[in-house]
Amino acid sequence: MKIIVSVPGDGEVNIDARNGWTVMEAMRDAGLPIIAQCGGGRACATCHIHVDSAFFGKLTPMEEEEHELLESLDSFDTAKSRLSCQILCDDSLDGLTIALQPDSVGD
Amino acid sequence: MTECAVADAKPLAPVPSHVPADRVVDFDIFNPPGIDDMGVHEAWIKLQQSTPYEVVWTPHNEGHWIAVRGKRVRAMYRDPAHFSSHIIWLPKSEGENYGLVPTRLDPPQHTPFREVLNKAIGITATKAMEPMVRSVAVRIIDALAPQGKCNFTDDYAKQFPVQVFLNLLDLPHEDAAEVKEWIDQMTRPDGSMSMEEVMANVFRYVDPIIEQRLKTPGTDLISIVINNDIDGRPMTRDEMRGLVSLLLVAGLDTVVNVLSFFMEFLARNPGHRRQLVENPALIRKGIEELFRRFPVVAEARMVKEDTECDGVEMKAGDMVCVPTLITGTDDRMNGCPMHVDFNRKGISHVTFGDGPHICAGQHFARLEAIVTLEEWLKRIPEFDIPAGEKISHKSGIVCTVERLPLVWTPRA
Ligand code: HEM
Ligand code: FES
Repeated sequence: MKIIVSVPGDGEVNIDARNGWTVMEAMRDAGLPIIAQCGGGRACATCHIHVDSAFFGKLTPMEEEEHELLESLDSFDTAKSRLSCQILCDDSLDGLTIALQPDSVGD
Repeated sequence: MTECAVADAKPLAPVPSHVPADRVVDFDIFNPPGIDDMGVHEAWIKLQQSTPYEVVWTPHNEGHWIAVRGKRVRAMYRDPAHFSSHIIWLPKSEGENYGLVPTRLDPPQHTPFREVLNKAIGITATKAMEPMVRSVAVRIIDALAPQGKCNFTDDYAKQFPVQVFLNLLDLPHEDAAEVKEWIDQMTRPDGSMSMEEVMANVFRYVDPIIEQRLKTPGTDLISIVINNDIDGRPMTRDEMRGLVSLLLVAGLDTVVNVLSFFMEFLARNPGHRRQLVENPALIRKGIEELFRRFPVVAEARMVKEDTECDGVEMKAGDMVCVPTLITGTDDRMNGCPMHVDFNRKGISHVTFGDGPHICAGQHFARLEAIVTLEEWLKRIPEFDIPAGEKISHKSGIVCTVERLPLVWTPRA
């Protein structure tokens, strides 16, 4: 599947992702500057994305722990925010359009 | 004892001309200085704190680099173009003989295999396994609780993940001891068997099982793994035995030891333990802090082409140890890193590796740890290490707690 990522300071990037990997992993392995400092443990919130409204409703609902982490972030938006390490790539999400948030961009 | 003797008998490698003298340290990853007095994590952190550099070189184990800062370790895990998985175990001459698909593949060859592993033990599959995992934990702890004492490593940590796995793979429980024996030989060789012999034993065990599951597939993990295509072509027999053996190797020894480190900590820190007993909901969240504080894996990467790193030249073929052991406990990754705070915000660690090979079983490992603490603390909320007992650690590809005697007052 394809993912269209808007990266702060770097514009839009198209990446290929494989089913079964997480969206965070797809961005990381494509070399995007995502921090993801707990490796997908739902413990750091440095894999924060905003999801385009056309896709937000299609995602598997979040669990309480994810919500708790997101709420504490400055750019938290109830209608858009997710942790990308909790979203699995799947053909039904082809064309997934997301914006990596500044709080999750490293060097 | 014997392990030290074997390690000491090996000659030190000469320092190659591209290694600056001030990068050379005297550090054996299988027997780090100070481990007996301060414990394995502290011994590794001592190495980190002893140098201004992010990368050092040791003449032990045939000579290799060591990345000693968490961010450097993470960056190497994320950079397979320069730091290849072609050989991942030290010393290099032994690592060459170890070859379980897909741990030694770099992307893009690695990617389709990982898809199979994700399907078998990823986030989604893990959720369905919780009831089975819990029933194994409950059975073992219920049997231990009335005894008022145990050796946690032997009586729980070595039993629980093996039984869980044998259930997942639909294999007889009598095989537990044999399986455990050759996994130990792989991760902490005592010199009695070469890596080639160990692998031959593993395959001798695994081959007939694969044969049988190809003929009559079930719903077990082995059947799920071997009935897959790799980018449209059937899997070869070598790939199947690699994947199946990998699940056994990767999913057992790591969990055994992580659980032992967690319980050693909880036995020594009644304040932390009581927080979890009084508020069991904190376990799910607090588990990540324990994974941060008690990493256990020290693997390596092979330099793919000559490259500059932290101001030194690395040559193609050089080995670099990328210890997860100095990542979450690095003071540049987390404040007060040796302190455990179940409510810590913004946890940073590399306990499960990073990059394309990041632990395929990380969600499963969390589940096993959460279930263990939940069920244990419910039944045995107060426990201690008996006075006068010294707890010893060993360093290796997977670090271990040698034995962990615990005592408690059984409920009437
Ligand atoms: C606390 C327990 C665990 C720890 C600390 C741990 C740690 C790691 C680390 C550091 C790696 C990276 C290896 C590398 O990059 O070369 C890894 C890989 C792997 N782990 Fe784990 N692991 C644990 C539990 C598990 C469990 C329970 C399973 C299986 C159910 C598992 C399956 C795997 C597999 C299959 C790989 C290889 C992935 C690949 O090469 O793509 N691990 N693990
Ligand atoms: S990577 Fe840490 S929460 Fe997603």
